[in-house]
Amino acid sequence: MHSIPVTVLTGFLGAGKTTLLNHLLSENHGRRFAVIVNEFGEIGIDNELIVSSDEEIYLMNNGCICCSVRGDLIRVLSGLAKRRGGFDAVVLETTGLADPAAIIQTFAMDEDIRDAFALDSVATVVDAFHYPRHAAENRQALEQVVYADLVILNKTDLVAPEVLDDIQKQIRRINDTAQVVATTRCDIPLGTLLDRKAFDIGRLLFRSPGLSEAAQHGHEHDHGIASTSLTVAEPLDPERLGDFLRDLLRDKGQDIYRCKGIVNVAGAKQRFIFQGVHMYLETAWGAPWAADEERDSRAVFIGRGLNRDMLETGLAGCVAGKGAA
Amino acid sequence: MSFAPDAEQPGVMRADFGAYVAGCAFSPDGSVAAYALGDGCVALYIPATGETEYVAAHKGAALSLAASPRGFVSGGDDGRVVLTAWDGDYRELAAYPGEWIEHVAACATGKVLAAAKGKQVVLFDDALSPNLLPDLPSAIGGLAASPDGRALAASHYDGVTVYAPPRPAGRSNTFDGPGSNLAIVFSHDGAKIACATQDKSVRVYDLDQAAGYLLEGYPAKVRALSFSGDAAMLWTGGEQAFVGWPVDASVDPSAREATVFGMFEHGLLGTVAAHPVLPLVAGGFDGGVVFLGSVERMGAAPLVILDGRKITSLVWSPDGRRLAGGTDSGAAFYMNLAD
Repeated sequence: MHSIPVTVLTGFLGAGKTTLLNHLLSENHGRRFAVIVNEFGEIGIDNELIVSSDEEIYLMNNGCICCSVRGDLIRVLSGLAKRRGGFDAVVLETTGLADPAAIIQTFAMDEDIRDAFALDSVATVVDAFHYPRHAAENRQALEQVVYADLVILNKTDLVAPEVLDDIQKQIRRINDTAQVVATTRCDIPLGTLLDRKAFDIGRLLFRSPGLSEAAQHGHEHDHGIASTSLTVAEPLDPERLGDFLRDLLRDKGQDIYRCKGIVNVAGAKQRFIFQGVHMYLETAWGAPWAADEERDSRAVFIGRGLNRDMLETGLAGCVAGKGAA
Repeated sequence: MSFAPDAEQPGVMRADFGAYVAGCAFSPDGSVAAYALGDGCVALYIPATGETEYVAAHKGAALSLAASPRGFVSGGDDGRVVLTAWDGDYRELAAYPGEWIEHVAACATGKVLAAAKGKQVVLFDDALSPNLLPDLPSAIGGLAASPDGRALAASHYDGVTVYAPPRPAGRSNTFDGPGSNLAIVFSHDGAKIACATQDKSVRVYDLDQAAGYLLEGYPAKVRALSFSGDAAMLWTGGEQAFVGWPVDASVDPSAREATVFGMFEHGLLGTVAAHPVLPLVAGGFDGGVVFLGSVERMGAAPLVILDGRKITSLVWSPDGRRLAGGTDSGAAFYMNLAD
């Protein structure tokens, strides 16, 4: 039995989440969606399987805020699992201020959910007209972009090209691995929105490294949130890397929203892959390196107030064959 | 779709309902077994006649099931609470469109009939009219009635609320339990409550002492709990084996040690049902195998293998002579262990 894909739609109030949801449900794609919304009301489509769910954040492991899960999601998805076969996929529309971290952690940390469902994508709708103000005033607006694998830059007809360009740069600064699609009324092809398998660790891909240059400079409106990309040419020692990541996430997990890496482990034929949200870390062996491929290790850390030098030194200390640091 | 005898296992009847088995229950006299299904039906199996009747109780999925002397009470994601009589007649007791009725509770004495609607307990009075109790701090994670009907307990975030006696305007008492609390059960004597948490642990409350203690060490979330008939042991899922804790007051809490047997390397114990009288415990492991464990022999033997990834429900008849259960893919069984 395969897992049921779940697409999460986030974005600030008025950004266009409901428009996107209606677009998704009205399109003739032959799929049956179960829809989880925070509030009934604006959905114009008759769908038997619309469920409303009040956000309930449950702290796990002695109340650590960055190990929180969404209790309501566990409940609703467990209920939906009982009508298996009645739908092919799930769409979850969040509130304008929802923290995507708790949603991602729910899929990672609850075995029942992990067993029956797979987080397919976190798509964040950004209102191009209001984003500069939203981003300046609310950290949540930036955090929603940080967790996205797809950013739908909406209402682009309302802003000048140079403003749009600025917003794109700002998005890149805090998340240079997401795909950014510009739209006017969330008119995104459904093929782009669905079946992304963005959280399938085996599919973790990086954009071209050149794009990460922008990430290296902070910005006054970013609430200290920045994306730091690192590259190491020498092969790494897996044990040292494990220790480094474990210590890093234990000490700084609160401030590290996401981390991802594709690593060249000394002596291994396959890529070693890691990805994490706050203190939660997942690792796996990825595709084998091709014979003629340049085997370098790349990692991205997105967080608040992260020290690039510290990360660089830490990762450099994981190089295989070096004396203990 | 009807039950048919297993060709190789005498006493075992099997059915394929083709829909998630959300709950099983026996009528108090054991003459009818009910299965609440993901297609909204409550299937009634009457062993004496061999007939299976499908009652279209719910429009969406049936999510919960309990037996009361008046019939089977079920909750669905259509927001309805339905009472199905032994002969298949059914009536709607309450309807809350847009809500899910994930938990129902009843007891053999007929004193309690209740359902959970979001953060509220719905308590039915003698005339079967619904009464909504005040909001609890979060959505209800589990609901249970004590066997004698003197108490009703609802688990929620940061605690468990006990209504004793359960009356529409009666008193309630909340026991602390930090974090998210889920499945909840009473011991047969009504003196203890066990509650599974989201954090891979179980909390036991002694109602006389108004104190709780935590049982930990599970590799996974505990999905099922069952007290032994004499209330001295608590059996739990959440491990690749049967795990039983001594919960008798005579055992020093700090010296409490779990009894573990029946290791199963292919899956976790997802459902567990202690025998109401004998020192036996039935358990459904992920992968679809039901084992019968003997507490005296500290061992378990496979009883029946079902199609499905998870055994979702397992229940003994009140006299302990019959066992019924089902899986997430709709396979179900009924077993007569007495003849």
